Amino acid sequence: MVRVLVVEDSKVARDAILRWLGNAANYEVAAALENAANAVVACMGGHIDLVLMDVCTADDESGLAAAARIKEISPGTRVVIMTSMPEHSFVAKARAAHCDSFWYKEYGETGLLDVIEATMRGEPVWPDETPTVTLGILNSAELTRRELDVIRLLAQGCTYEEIAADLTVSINTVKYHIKNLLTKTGFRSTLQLVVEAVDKGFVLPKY
Amino acid sequence: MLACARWLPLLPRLRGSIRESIDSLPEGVCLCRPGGSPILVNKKMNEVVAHLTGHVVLNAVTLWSELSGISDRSGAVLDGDHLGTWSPGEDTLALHLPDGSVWQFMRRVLEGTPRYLQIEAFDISKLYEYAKDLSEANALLREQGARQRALLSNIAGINREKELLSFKMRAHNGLGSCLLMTQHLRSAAGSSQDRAALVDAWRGVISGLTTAPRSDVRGIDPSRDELDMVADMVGCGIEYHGEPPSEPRAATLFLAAVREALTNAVRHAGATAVAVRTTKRDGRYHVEISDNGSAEAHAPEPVREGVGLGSLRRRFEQEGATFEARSSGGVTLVMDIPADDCGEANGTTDVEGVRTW
Repeated sequence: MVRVLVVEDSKVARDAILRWLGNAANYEVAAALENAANAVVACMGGHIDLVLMDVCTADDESGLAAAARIKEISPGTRVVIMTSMPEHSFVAKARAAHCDSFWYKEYGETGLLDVIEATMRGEPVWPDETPTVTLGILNSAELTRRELDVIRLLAQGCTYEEIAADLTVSINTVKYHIKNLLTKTGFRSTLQLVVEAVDKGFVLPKY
Repeated sequence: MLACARWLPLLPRLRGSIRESIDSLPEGVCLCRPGGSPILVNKKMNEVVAHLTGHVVLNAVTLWSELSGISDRSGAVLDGDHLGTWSPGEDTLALHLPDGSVWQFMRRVLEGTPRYLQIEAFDISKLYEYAKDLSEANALLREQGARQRALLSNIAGINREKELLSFKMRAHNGLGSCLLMTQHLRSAAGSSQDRAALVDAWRGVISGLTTAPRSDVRGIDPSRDELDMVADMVGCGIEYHGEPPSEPRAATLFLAAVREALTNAVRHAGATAVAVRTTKRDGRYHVEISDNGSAEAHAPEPVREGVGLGSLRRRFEQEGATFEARSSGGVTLVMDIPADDCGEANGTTDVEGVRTW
């Protein structure tokens, strides 16, 4: 029997996941939590085989940070990251945290149970690409790596000087990227751009 | 002598040319003796001074006192009023003229023998307008930045609502599909397989809408209940003495500290119980967290902060709280948490915290 820890702060989503697991024969839900940081504690006993971890959890605790700690203290525990956010950095962060699989709740074509089964067989499941969103008149797939970094730092409230320092470029280069972003998206201000990017879950710097 | 004599008749014409040139300058110029009596005042200076004082330049020293005394807003541009590097000082004044233009007056002494006093006047109207526009744009940017930060602080809640809506819509769609299938089978003859499939679909939808899973059981303080539950899972109970914080931010910090203490107590000291003592005084919660773990397993003085404790300390400090890890026969976490909304008293936004994941 596979002991599963579900970490999902949305009650409706949590109930749906518990229902799916309940309908499957060989899974036992050890606990269902809302806060990812509590999941780290729960895994300390070494009795959890699989963690289904949401990224944005209660009290703004990051599921990605918690997953990294779980993999440190209990490497044998498998972790599947779940999210409905198309945030472009989540997949890379999940890989860096040594997570086993990654599932998009709304965009994935593979069902959660199939992802779980494959993960427990030792076959990681990762999305081929990040879901795209529309930012103004632009499809997010057309953004360059650097433009994504600039949007992320703008969303964190960084000034142009701070962005330049963080990316190790000149302020003029930052202004150049911002000008391109506004032209590509058709937005009149960086505030519009950031609001749209954050509202659509494309950039979530807190996690 | 003869050379000089040749130039003498030209002097009046030369003086006239010099006069004409100086009068055609767009700036005001006034050259005076140290006592203030004018030697040379050009047309523009007299014009500008007349607009401000009602008379032409009679004495430069008196004029400067007069200009300095103009303090009503219609005449003066006050310190720091959109001027940037042209801010007024002892030898610099900036004044509005009735026609809306802005003029900067600069006074200096021309060293030499004899010494002269010079006053110049420059039209800085355009620069003043640009500085004003820049100041307004910066104010707008600051406002936008504040709105951005407010948006980010709420975005987690907004996204959760969206997720919830999405799942509700799926449930709604499932119900809708069943209704459509039912209507279809009522109006058209279907096979027994179709009817069996319809019954299964209805069972799934009804089960989803009526099942009350374990996760529904949440107490008054779900965050604390959840922590207590995971503590029991790892065989370490939490005993609370005193009333824990109820204010949202203080409560979040409090639980983060209890969680960290629990983690360290189980991992490093083999503890089976963690004691949390809370007292409230002068608008602050004083909290001490200790455990019954093995003293030998604890690190000796001073406590070496790992990633968890270090990160917790930074979080506390950003929220205006204090945090200390003491080691004397066991590790005790000691902290003081403001009871009001942490951090807002400082007017800061946690940019540092937002940078990490």
